[in-house]
Amino acid sequence: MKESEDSPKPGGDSKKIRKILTLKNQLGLHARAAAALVNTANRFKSDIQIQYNEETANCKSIMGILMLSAPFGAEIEIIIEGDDAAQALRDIENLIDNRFGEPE
Amino acid sequence: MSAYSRTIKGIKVSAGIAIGRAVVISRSFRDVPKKGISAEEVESEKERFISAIRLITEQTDRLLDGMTQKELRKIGPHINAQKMILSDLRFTEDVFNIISTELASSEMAVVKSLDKYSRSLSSKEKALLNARSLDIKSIEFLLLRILSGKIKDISLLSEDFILISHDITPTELYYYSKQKMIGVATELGGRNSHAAIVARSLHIPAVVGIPNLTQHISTMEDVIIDGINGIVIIHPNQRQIAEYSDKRTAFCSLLDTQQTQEHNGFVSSDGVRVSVLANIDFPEEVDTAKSLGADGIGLLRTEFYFIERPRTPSEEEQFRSYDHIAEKFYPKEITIRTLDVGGEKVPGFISQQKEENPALGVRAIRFCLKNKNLFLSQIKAILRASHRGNVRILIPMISKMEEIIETKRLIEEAKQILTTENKRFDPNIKIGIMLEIPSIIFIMEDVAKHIDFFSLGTNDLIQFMMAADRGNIELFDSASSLSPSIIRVLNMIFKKAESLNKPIYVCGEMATEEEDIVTLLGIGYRHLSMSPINIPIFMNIIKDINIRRAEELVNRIITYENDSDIIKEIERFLNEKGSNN
Repeated sequence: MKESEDSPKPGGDSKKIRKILTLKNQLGLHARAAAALVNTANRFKSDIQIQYNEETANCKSIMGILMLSAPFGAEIEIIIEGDDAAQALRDIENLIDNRFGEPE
Repeated sequence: MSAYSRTIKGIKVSAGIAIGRAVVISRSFRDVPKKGISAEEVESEKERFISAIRLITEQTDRLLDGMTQKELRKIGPHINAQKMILSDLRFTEDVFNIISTELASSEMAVVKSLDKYSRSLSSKEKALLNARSLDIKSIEFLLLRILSGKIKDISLLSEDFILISHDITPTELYYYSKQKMIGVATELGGRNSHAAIVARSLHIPAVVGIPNLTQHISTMEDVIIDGINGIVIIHPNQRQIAEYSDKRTAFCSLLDTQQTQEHNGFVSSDGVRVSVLANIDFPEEVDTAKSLGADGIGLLRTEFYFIERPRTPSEEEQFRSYDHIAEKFYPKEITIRTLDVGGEKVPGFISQQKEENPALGVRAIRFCLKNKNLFLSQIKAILRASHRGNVRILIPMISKMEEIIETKRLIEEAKQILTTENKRFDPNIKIGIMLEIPSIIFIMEDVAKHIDFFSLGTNDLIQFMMAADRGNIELFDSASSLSPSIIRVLNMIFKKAESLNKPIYVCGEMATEEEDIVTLLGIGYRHLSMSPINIPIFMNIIKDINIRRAEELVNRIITYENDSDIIKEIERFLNEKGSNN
């Protein structure tokens, strides 16, 4: 879809990681799913951003995530910068893979 | 007390009957604090907003603390999400910003900020009423109510009450259900809004989507919520209260005995067996229908899968759900009706031109034949669910032969694709059409060569025959099922189906009123499909009906010239039925 460079930006430090993930739950990032994402993001010190359709939101703010209005099948990009970035990405990936705990 | 009974149709979202006093929360207060504030008041206004948020958060936490594990699992996530939106810093900053730069009251700032959010959502999701912006609207309503101080009134109530409100949030719904709220009706809302889902899981009867409802009734006045048929009765009369008390009793006993009731089927007092099937709106109702001993599903509506969804469901998703239901009912049959709405309700299909008369517009089979990819994927999903041999397919709103031929061609095409895809299906799947548009009745003989069964949609048939909207309370008499023309056409349809040797099922609300049931059985109909909740009620009615005598009754009333004579004769029959057996 849009630019999806997996390599760090010039000048960015090595702890910044980004990954494109596909939403697998029926309703996409609706209120409950967004809340679960915020809960997960809040467990980490890293700065966590989510990007969809050329809009970026802070993963620790539910309003921002809701406003992205990402539906089922959307490819979202998670951008994490900080000491616990790797673990944060793993947890977020898990959450999305498990469809936020929703049935299929 | 001068007020007279008034029946209003809405969207049913949670089954059940509630009879009681209304507590009305109108939207009017939304307009009250429109006045601005002075620069000196900015800080205190911000403080007021923060206290409101704090109050809701505390209340929410107490609610969550008091929940059982099951409630937490089902409702907790909805309430948490709402709490999170309210305490979102971005939202608070937004509101603060509006308060200080525009010198707006908290109420105005809340409305303005949330309007911006929901507008942005609506424009992105392209659905007229989508679940997400409804959730945001609900939060606005809750906040405004807290800011206005009105929420305290509710918590003081110790009597059972029915909430009549502009809108309701999942949190409020849960909270009020603990405060003896027994039913709810709202102006906003849709089938799949959070509040609707919570109402269903709490078994609170609910009807939504009735514009201006709060203006028709005041707090402490009587009201009935019929969540089975999506009806709200304002200022009910004694007869209606008695009638609905019976319905409520039947429904409550049904909820108490969720286990399978062992019974020997539905048999009249003179030993005639009638097959009773279920009309299903939501997958949640399937278990109830089964436990009540339904002889199958006569009408599985599929609108649920399409309306107010962020996107159209895939073939795979539909297949899994249909297949699950077919498996549950096996070996009993289930009839799946293809999509029966217009494009304005299906995500991704906003019609460019607004139809002046959507009920007579591009809907149901007409819409499906214009959107063949969507239709084909639904047909494929239904076919795949038919591999056990207990699924039938039903096509709605057929008005002419060409539609049947084209639909059958698509079904054949779907079968071929499935064969090449190596997917299992029932090659002899039965195909039926809805009899609801009057034109089709005159060509039943020709149509019968191409189909396996008929389903009679009494609601639409009466509506189209009489050119009377059944949702219009002024026209209740015009849309009566006990008119000479209707009784005669029902008789004609039955005789035709019988001579053509095609099964015919009745699946409208007609199969639920005692007067109508007697008439249908007297004409000869033996397959009736109804909402699950109506099954125990029907069971009670049929055991007292002597069908031979009902046939004699129909032979008499079919010659009558006006509604009132017919109704009088049927009422006499019902009053005497006990002594006739």
